[in-house]
Amino acid sequence: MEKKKLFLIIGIFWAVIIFGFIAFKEFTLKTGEEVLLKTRPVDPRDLFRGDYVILTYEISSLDTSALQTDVTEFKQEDKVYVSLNKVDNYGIALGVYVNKPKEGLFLKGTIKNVQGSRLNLEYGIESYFVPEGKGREIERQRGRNLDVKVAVDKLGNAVIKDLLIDGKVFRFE
Amino acid sequence: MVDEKQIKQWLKEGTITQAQAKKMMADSSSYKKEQSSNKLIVAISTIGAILLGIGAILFIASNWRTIPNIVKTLLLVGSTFGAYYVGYLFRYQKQNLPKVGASLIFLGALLFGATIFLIAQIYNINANSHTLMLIWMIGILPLVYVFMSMPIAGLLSLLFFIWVYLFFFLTRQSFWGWLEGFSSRYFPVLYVVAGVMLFGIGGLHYLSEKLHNIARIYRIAGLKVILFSLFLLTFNFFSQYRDYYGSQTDATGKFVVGFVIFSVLAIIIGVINWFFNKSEQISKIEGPVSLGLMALMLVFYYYPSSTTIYVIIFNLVLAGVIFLLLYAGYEREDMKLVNMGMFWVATFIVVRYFDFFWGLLDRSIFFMVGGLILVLGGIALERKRRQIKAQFKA
Repeated sequence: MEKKKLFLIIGIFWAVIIFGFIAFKEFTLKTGEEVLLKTRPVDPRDLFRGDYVILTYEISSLDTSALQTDVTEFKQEDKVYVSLNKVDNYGIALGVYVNKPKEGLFLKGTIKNVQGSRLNLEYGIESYFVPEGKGREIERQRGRNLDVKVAVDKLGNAVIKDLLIDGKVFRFE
Repeated sequence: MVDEKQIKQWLKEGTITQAQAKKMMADSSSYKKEQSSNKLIVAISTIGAILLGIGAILFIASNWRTIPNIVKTLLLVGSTFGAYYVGYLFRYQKQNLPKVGASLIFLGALLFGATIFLIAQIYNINANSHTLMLIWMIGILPLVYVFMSMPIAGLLSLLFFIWVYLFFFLTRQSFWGWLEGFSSRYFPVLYVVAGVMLFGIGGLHYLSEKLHNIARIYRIAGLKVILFSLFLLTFNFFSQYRDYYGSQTDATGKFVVGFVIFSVLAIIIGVINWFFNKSEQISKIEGPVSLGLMALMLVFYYYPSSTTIYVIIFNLVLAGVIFLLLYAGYEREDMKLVNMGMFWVATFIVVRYFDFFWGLLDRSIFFMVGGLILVLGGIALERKRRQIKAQFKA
């Protein structure tokens, strides 16, 4: 194949990756159901993307003995679905499943650690990127009600929409 | 191109006339000047591309909110495709600035990664995600083969090794997650296997005449990682099993899968290179050494020992690999291999000196002897290196 054609194919390939990536996230944001998650932050730094706040949610640590499940044993790195019940717009965990639930609101996650009946999970929404040096601003809000508004689509993918402090959307000055 | 010494020899022997010798001298000198100026252009424009790429990544990292996300995205997407297109134009279409064109294509590859990271930042995709690294690698892989770009092959190798870390060792989102990954005793094991695999993949590239330059980049990258990982394994921290290691440093299921897949691939590729790859660039000793290393890694992984046996074995293996590297460099008159070998000889001696004599000698004697070894060793190594270089040139 001649160079020009290959050059164009690679260009199109890049465009598909970049815009596909954007479309995938926009799909979740536009079609997803909004839900609030209770959270608490700590502040490190990413190698390529600058300052961010690590977010840990109430649903990041779940006791399976108090929840519905479809298996008897969970393993580290298992992909699971956490079904949520909305109470005053807050997502409360109802069950943890290895198989995708057929209906309802659920989040896709990965088990990071298993300690007895307690699971530590990640949902891909644990980082909130902030302008350089502004991570502490959020950290200082500890003790106040810190929530994250996420959009969750039908497949269980979630994207962070806003960070809320005492119910108000937090904006950097 | 022939050198001056050879031309003079031919003149002396009467093979060529005075006029022919003069013409050859002039041609040889202008060829050398052209070569050196080409190298300078490549070096300068590649460094320029790297600086611009780093600048773009730092710009994203600062997460400047004054510019709206959509503008930032368009700016970066525009720069990515712009650099890529202008690079292509200079190198292939107009062919007026081929070296700068190649560097701009390389810049396009860097900016493509920066764009991915910007989008990930806008949508708050988890930090240090291995998926982003994988997307970057998939995006630039075709460039290596379509444009035969050596810097992009180097970037790809680097991204591959970063991806290995993020995927297999970064188990949780925190500073401790990073530290746990680095202190895992399986960290160097997987890197040796991944290094052998990349080295082997490089060897496979020698099957095609067109891919020789790319082959070398992969092989050198693989070799560097193998040597560094073997070096880590010479410390008992990595090679001696301890019962008190917590669960965090134990191998995860993901690690085992990766270890098995990389090992199988490395062994298959090693066998192909050993028995079927007839390229002159592949030395006969490579096959057995690669497979030997793989066997050692498998034994080490499946039969850990709380004794110091592996510490001794890995010291011997590292010394052996360095020796083979120097031998290969000398045999092929390859200064890069010789330099790499010399660097590891020096590092190995200094580190082992500290290990063995720190507790045995009085502190003052320890430092004085150490200083003396360093100074004399430095002189000896530099002399030897120059000697080899002069021999190669002759």
